[in-house]
Amino acid sequence: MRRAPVLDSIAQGLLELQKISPTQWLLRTLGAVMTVLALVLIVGITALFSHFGIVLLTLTVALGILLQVRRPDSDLGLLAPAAIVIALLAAGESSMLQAAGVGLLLMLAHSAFALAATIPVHGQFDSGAWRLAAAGLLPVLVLSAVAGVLVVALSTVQLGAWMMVIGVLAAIGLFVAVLPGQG
Amino acid sequence: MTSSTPQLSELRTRPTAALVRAAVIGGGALALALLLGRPEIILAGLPMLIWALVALARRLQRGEERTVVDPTQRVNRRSIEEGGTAAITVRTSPGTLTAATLPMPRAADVAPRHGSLAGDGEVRLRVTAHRWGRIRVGPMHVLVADALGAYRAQRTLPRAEVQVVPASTVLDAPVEVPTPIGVSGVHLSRRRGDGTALSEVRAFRPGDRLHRINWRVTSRTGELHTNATFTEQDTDVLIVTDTIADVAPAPWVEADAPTSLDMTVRATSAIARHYLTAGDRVSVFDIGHLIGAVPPGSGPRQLRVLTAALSRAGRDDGAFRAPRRLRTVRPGTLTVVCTPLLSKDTITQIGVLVSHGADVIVVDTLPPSIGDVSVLRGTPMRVDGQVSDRFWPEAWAMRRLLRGRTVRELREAGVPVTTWEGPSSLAPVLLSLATARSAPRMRRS
Repeated sequence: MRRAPVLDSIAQGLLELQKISPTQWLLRTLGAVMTVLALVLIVGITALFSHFGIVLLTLTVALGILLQVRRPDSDLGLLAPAAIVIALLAAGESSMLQAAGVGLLLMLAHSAFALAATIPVHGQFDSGAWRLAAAGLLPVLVLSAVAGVLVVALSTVQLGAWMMVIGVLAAIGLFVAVLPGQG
Repeated sequence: MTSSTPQLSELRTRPTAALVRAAVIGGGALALALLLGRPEIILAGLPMLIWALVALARRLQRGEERTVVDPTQRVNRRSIEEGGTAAITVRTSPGTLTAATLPMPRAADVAPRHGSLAGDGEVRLRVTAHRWGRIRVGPMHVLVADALGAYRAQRTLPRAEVQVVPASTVLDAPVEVPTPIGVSGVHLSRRRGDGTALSEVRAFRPGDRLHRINWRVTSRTGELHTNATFTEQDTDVLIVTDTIADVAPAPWVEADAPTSLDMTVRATSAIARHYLTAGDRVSVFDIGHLIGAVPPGSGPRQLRVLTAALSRAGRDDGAFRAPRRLRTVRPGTLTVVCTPLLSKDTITQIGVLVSHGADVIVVDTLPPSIGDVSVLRGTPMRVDGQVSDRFWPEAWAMRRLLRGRTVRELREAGVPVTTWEGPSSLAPVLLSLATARSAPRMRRS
């Protein structure tokens, strides 16, 4: 007799899943898969649970993905990409291609979650919305590729220590410019 | 018919959590790369930073940092038939991701299934009504965002109303009425006069029309004979609707089974359409307060007035009001009372109508599943997996038995009672009434 409420709640949960629209399934799954792929690109698929640090990282990313899949509009969506960037830093020397791949995957995951946050869980995108989203993403991809090539090209240039100060100040300025204000 | 919402207050977009995320990850990666001298870290954050920069540039370019186009709502049809569809369009401006979400209206379906759709500057949702009456659609929640989902604004648009006209059933019944009381029309009366139906061939009398002379009989008999005809008249049809209570069908029948009010309104609509098409004057008197009275009228305009009155009726008002009473009726008026025969006031009203000389027909609109004894097994009934301790099915069975007595008494008083089972319900009753009226009667001396 005690099992009935538990079964009822499970059944209710499964019924709730039916309300999730195909658009949301697609966007949220895409976001989660891209984030996992970014992590795999850094640590490798076989090393996800190899030692304590990586287990902690995997669990953090998994938690971040879970939170974001549940609520794509949450500020906690920072958790997974931040953990992955930190993991890339901690991984020591990594190739440009690997970092670029991680960046691209993180951006795709981020875009998917950003779009998922614009509609309710049962909401759908019509063809016009998909076209608009694709048209919005296209310049991001093109500019990312151009900027990536520039970064690779400039990475070989040896700059003086004073350039570091200007660079950091420029990064902070850019960060402040982009950081959302109140409209 | 269309409508649009008035311009509301200024709509401004706000940054989303996604923009914060992109700025923090992109900017953070750039700062860390510069501080630690690790250029490859820039590449990890660069796409997200560019995503944020593109969103910002796009916003500045479109001038959306001040205000965005306010969404407007437009309903393509204010009045639809049962089963019909009305489209609700929400417009902002092209290049804006516009997501509209509707709460599910009662007795209607929304397409897409759960009533939420996003599009490029325009979204069209469809509402398909299953039941007559006034349905309120909304309030609609509209979210306006840029193409990337970096900035957004929200607005709740006011509710729109759609009137649902009862389905236009064509009654499968003769147009004969027992007592035509009008001047000219299609019903054959028992009075002789100008018409087309032959009554008799009789000797010519002064005043008879020459073109009616029957030459064949005249030549055979050698005396002038003429064709006498019955006059054709229209009549007054009064439809009395009992909207005092709405009795839902039993819970074990299908979900879209009609309630007593559905049956009453559909019967009213079908009967009115039938007689208006035949050229009669039709009026509606509502004993309850849902539809209101519709004064007598004829022709297509009256049909529009009547269907509009029926479609305006709302179901949400649960307030009890004293039933209305019809004081007088012209003798010979064909009166069709659509009622579930549960209210004492309605039964009294039928008696009053009969005493005034109206030809009364009662259309029984109690759902057949209510009080159905065939489902009773002598044990408590299980409905939706639960056993109710209130014995509703048994109580309704007893109520239907009591009601059976009323039906019997009405029949004994010469009032035919017929159950509403769709378009063919009235045919036998109307035929028998017409036959009874035209039958030879014993002369009273």
